[in-house]
Formats: sequence, C-alpha cells, structure tokens
Amino acid sequence: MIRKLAVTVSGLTLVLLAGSAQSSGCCDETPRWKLSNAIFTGYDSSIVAVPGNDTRVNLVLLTADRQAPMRLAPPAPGERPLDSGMLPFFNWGGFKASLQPAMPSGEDGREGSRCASNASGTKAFEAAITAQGGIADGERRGLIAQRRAMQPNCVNDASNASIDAATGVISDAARPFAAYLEGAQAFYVGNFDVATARFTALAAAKNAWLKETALYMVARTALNRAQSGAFTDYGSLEDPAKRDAAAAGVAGKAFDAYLRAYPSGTYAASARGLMRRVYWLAGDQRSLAAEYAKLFSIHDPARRGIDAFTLAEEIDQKLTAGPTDAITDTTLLAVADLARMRAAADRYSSAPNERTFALAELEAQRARFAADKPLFDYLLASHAFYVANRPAEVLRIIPDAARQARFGYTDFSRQMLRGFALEATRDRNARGFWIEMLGGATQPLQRQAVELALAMHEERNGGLARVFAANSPIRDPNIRGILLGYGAGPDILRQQASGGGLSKAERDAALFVLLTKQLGRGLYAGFLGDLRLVDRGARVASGDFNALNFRGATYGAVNPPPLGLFTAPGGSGDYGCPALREIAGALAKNPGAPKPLICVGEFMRVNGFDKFLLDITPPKDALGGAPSLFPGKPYSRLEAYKLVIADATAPANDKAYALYRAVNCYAPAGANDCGGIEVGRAQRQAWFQRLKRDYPQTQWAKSLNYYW
Amino acid sequence: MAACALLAACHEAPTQVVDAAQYDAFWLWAGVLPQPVLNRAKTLYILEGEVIARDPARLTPLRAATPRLPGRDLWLVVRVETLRWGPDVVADMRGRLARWRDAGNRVIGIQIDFDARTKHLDEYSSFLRDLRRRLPRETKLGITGLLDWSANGDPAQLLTLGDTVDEIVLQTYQGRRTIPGYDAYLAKLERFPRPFKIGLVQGGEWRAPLSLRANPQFGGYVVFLLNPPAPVDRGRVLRH
Repeated sequence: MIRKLAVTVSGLTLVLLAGSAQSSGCCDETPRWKLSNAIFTGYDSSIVAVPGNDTRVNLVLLTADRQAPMRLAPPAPGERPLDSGMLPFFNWGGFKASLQPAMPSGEDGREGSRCASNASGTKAFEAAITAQGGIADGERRGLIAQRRAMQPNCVNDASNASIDAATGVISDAARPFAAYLEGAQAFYVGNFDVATARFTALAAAKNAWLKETALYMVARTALNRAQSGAFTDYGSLEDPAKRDAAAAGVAGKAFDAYLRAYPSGTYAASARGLMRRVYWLAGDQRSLAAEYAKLFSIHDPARRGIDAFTLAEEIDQKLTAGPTDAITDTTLLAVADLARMRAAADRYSSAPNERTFALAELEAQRARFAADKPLFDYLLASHAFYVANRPAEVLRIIPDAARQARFGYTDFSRQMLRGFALEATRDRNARGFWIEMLGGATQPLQRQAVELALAMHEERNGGLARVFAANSPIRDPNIRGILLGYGAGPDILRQQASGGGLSKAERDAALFVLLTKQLGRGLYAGFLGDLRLVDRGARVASGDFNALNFRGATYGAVNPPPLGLFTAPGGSGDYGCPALREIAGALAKNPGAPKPLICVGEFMRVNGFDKFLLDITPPKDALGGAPSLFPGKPYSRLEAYKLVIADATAPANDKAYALYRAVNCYAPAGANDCGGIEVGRAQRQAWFQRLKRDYPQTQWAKSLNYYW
Repeated sequence: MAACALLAACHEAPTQVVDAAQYDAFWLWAGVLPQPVLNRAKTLYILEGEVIARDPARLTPLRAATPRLPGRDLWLVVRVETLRWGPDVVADMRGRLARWRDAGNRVIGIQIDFDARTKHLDEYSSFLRDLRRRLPRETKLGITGLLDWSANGDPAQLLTLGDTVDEIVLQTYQGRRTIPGYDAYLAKLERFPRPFKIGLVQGGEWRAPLSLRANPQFGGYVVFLLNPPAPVDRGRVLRH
C-alpha cells in the first residue's frame, strides 16, 4: 500500500491573502519574481507602476498620491495582519482585497440592478411617511405595508400588476405618498411611462423627502429606459450606433436638474455616479474621461463617493476602445501609455517583441503633461527602458533621489526604474542605491519591493551570504525562502538551520532543504552529520507543506516541514528498507550500492519528493534564477534505477525491483514522474520484457502487467 | 509531408488554425463582442461572473445584462479562482440562473471554469459534489479541464471527477494561444476514462489527431471566441 504523503513543494504558490482564500489555481499562474516586468499576465502586478501591471493597479498607484493614503485592510478576526503574508506580486483581486476593506455592492449598472436599491428605498419611505403629519394611522399603515410588499425582481415582468395605492387613502397629506408608491412599483416592473408620469407630478409635492426623491427618480427612470435597449441579446453593451442616444441625453438632463436643485442632496453622490453611466451609454468617452479626471482631483473618498479601487475597475470597464486624444487627464494617459509599452510576446513564444509605440508619439504628448513633468519623465524613461532597451537613458532622465523620508507611489516607481537601469548597466553603485531606498520605503508593499531588488542583486553578484548575515536588511520571509530554497548552498543552509534565521519556521525550512538536497545529490556524509539538527519531536506527517513559505498562519507554525521524516526509525516503501540513517551510512561507504540506492528512491517516492520543485530553477531574470550554490545534480529516481539496472554485480531481486520501478515511472499515462533523462517507449518495453524474461519468479515480474 | 511516409506515428491531419465558422458551440467571454458566427451557434457557454479570491469570495458579475437567446442551449459559466467561497456565492448563482431562465433562455447548466491542480482532483471532486447538491435539480454541472489531468492525473481521481459532473471540456489553450506541445497531451487522451469535449481557441493552431474521432469518449468541440486583434495598437485605451 503506497503511502502518499504528498509533500507538495509547490513552488511559488500565489498567496493572495494571508490565511484565507489561497487559490489552488493551476500551475501556470505562478508569478514570475521579476520587478522590471513588461509582460502582462494578470497575476504578477507589483507595487511599481510597470508596463506588465494590470492597468487597474497602475491607475490606483498613480492616483494614490492624490488620495487618502493607502492602507492595508484590517485582518478578519483570527487572521494575521496582511503584510505578513502578501507576496510582492498579485493579481487585481488580491490587490484590491488586501488594501481596502470590501465595499458593499449596490446598483452597478447591470440591467435589472435597479432592484438593488429596494431595501434602502423602503426604509427611507417609511421614515418619511412616519414623520409626515396629517396622515391617519390606518392610511399610514396601509401605505407602509404596500411598500414593504414590493419585492421586485426586475425582469420586466409585465404580469406584475401595477398597484393602485390610492385605495383607502383619503387625506391630502397621504395622497402624494400613494402616488409615489405607484411610481415606484412601475419603476421596478419596468413600466417607465407610468413611473415618469408619477414622479414628474410630484415636483409639486409639499413633503420635502417626496419632492427630492421624486426628482431623483425621474432621472433614474430615464436612465433605466435608456438602458433597456442598450444591450445585445448576448448581454453585452450594444454598438453605440444601435443605442438610444436621445434617451441617454434625457437621462443626463434629468440628473443635471437634480444636481442643480440639490448639489449636496441625499442622492448627490449617486446621481454623479449615474451620470457616468449616462456618458457610458451615450458613448461619450470625452465626457466620461473628464468626469474621471475630476474624480481624481478629489482627495477625500467620502466626498468623491467612490473608492479608488472601484473607480479603477469602472474606468477599466467603461473607458474602452477610443483614441487616446479624447483623454486629457495625465493619469489616464500615463496608464494607457504604460500598457502600450508591454512586450507583445506572450509567455510561450520567444519571438522578438513587436512594439508599436514610437518615441515620437510619446513626445507629442508632452504638452498635455505640462503640469506633471515627473510623470512624463517617468514615461519617457520607461519607454527608454522597456521599448528602446536603452537603460543609460533612464539614468539621464531620472536623477537619483533614493534617499527619502517617505516615497509617494509615483516617486517610488521613478526611483525603482532608476535602480533597474543601474542593474542593467552593471553600475557599481546599484547595491548602495537599493540600500538607500529602504529608508523611504514606508508605504504598504514598498519595502518588500526594494528588498526583492536588493536580493536579486546579491544573488547575481556573489552576495548571497550577506542576505543571511545577522544584520541583513532583507527580512521578508518569502524572499529569504526563495533564496534558501533555490540558491543557497550547504554552508548557508547549515548556518540558518543551526540557529541562524529569523524564525523557527525559517530554521526548519532551511534544514529541510539541506537534508533533502544532500540526500538526493549524494552528499551523504553531510546528510548524516546534519541529522543531529532535527528536533527529537519533529513532525512526520506532512499535509501540504510548501518549503518556500516560512511563516504565517498557514505555514511554519501551523504546518511545519516534516523533518521527522528524515529521522524516522522505520524505513519507507515496499522493499523492506531500513531507516534513512542506515541507508545514507551505506551509501557514504559505497555510493553505488544497489539496495541503498533503491531505498533512497523509496523514501523519495513515498514522501512525494518526485519532481521536487526546488530542483527546477526559476527563469534567469527572476528571483532564484541565478545559478545555485548547491552542488550536484537534482535527484532522479529514474537515474538511480538505471544505475542498478546497469550494475552487473547487483543481486537479482534488486535488479528486478529497479526494472519494475523504472517502468512504473511512466505510469499511468506515459509521462515520466521520476525526473532524469527521458527514455523512449521502446526502452520501457525492453525493461518490461527483461523483467518478465530474466526474473519471472519475483513478485515484481508477476505483478507488472503493463508498460507505458 | 515527405517525412510522413517514413515516420511510424504518422497519423495526423495537416496543421491548420481554428476557424470558428466550422463549429457550433462557443464560449462567449466578458468583453468579447458578438460576432456573426454566433448566429449559427447551437450551444453557448456564456461567462456570467467570476469568483475571485478575496475575503469573503463573492460572485462578481461580468456581464452587463441577461442574455436573451431563445432556441439555443446555454451554459452559464462562472470563472473561479478559489474554492473557498463566501456564503452568498451559491445563492447568487442560483439567482442568476433563475434570471436567465425567466428571460426565456433554455439553460442547460452551470459550467465552472477553474484550473484545479492535477494533484488535487479529489478535493475538487468533493467541492463539486457539494455544489451540485445546492443547485436546482434539473441543472447540469459542467467543468473545464486541463490537458495535464489526462496526462498526469490519478486515474481513480479522474473517474470520480468524471462521475461527479455532467460534462468536462478539456482546454487546449491558455490565453489566446494553443498550448505548445498539445499533441503530446492529446496522445494520452486515449486513456481518459470519461466522456469529454475539447476546447479550442479561435484562430489557434490546431491539428486533430485522427485517434480523437475514434475515441468513444470524445464528444465534440467548443471554441473560445476572441475579439479580432486591433489593426494598429493605438487607442486601445485600457484593457487590464
């Protein structure tokens, strides 16, 4: 019975929020740990406004300096603070969720979403009618009951008969409320003519709430009327030519009228928001862009009526294809320009980048950026770096301003770009530059990005030992984890495992990597010596351990690496293997001994070390992608079996088992699970036949029915 | 072509790209504009919303309005990034389903688009079993799948997965492109133990092995439609 503990060292799993909502999305959505990123994937945006970011992220970053300061959302009860778990790379959803508490959803412009306001509308109606004098209790109760009974579903269901709210209503004070109810009912069932008529007539109402609400509802009705023909059969927005621009115009005038009469009214923020929807429906990109520009200039989100993240999403959805000449706001323009600097090649092709953004075109925008030269310079420098591949230009355009008390996000991006250029030109001041930046990197996610840049420098310039020195400024556990997992050699790992390290989780993970790699790469003496570092009570069961995440609610303390596997007194697998200590001892004396070799394989197989992710080097330009300091070749069961199969002196049973296991490497579908150098189907067939022919009495020959 | 005469495993049709006009089942994603080929569609997989990883995860709408497509078979597609759903997601999903049906659509079922890790198919199966229990009885449950499952998935887990859902559509593409090396994966489909369909991307490279047609589990194609690329990349203001 194969005991699959599945030690899935899953590499760079994207943890979007510490603790909760760990996406088990597929393999290829792991971010590439590279800050100067021009390839858009959707899941490796960072806190530096680079072309590879999601445009919504860049929008938030470039407006962040004009907004209330961004803050990390408070953790849910029982969760750890977010900055202890966020990776430097994220997708839009994770970014939004981590830096902002969830905003309640309301009417969102989808067809039928007018029903979303029903609950709050009911409450307001009740309050208003209760406060109004001159209404008999019976009338009041009746009208409130009718309002509560309205449970619209907004599917334009004409069978929802209109109500006649006036039944039983006698007093003058109550009659307008009844009329309002009829209007509301008509609104919710999509009978816009009746709704408009009722609300328009209430312009003369004496009750202040009715008067204001009715004026607002005239506009909302007009908007919904305009929307009702605006969508295709498929539920997407129609071509502008097919939409009813006149109806949108009527709605626009109606919202204008409301805002003129009630500039700070109860529905003012909503009305302003809905005006944007009017522009969107009317295809009026110019007005829409101007509205967004106005919104950016309002610092206070309460006054603005919409938070930065929702705004970024709305812009992204609504401000679609249209020439950039319609855009005067420098931030929107900058975000669009950065997106055009993206590398056209996707992750799979190595074709040369085909960029279509000439410098002359960017230069032609200079006048529009007159009030924001630093942003324009950032665009020029980005163009030089990502499009023209002239990093030296960056140094000329953006002067050194690394030493700050506090970086805004735009300044931060400028200086980070300067740092990228220093690295690209192999400037000897690069390291000092990053260290200087640390002091001002105080806003959320900034410090992490600088630590990452510094770590990448150290990794490529022989400075890995500095990262793990006692006074190292690089403290982010994920960065340290990646370097320990991929780049570190036995010396650094042993240092961290022996009491160095920022936490027990890091010590344990370093030891785990040290033992695994020494065992797999034939460093048996070292392995035996380091076994003494394993705690007596170390865990044996593994769960879903990820060697690269060394702390946080999910890893480290709660899910420590199963170091007890290495010191377990019994052996693993199906071949009567002894404890690992004995196996390693035998191999230390004779590295080719067949049964011990097989037994290492059993240990690796049973405990899920096949395709060990820390043996697969990340891309060259990403963190962990520099040549590893750990000697030897990654472990492969297949190669071990090949050795035993080729060993003329190996006992028959060992040979048979090795053949059996080698064939099984390709089960169940012909893909090799055991690493090493691939063999073809013919070779697997040959092994199969040899097992059957030469060792027919063994249980292995008897139980193997297929090859793959 | 001359090489074909020499190679033993020469059983493949010539390379071509996917011409949507040759198919009648399509995915229509958010932001993808309707195109003429939709008029002949018999089955449409329409993206309605997504469940992205946030706390709590909610169903975020991605389609401005309810489709109105009487006479076709519709699947309501939800793109999923995390299986840790907040309490409202299934209720929202049922609400959207009801709204689609109220609008006169024949909605066959809900399709979940989630890239489950090959080593975690059993977790995914149990999640889907639970989801199915909470959906209306006459609604089918379908999923998209990865080629990697057929190559590296545990056969027992694949069986269980196949028994839990009504349909699996294996995707041969990522983003806008066919996955390189897809033919190696397809060769392994001979072992896939349950009925499946194949998902293609419009305009993507595609060369159907003849063995696919002979495979009794193969149930046809679904094509992911794309917007035509803009001739010059200017004025593409903001698109993520």
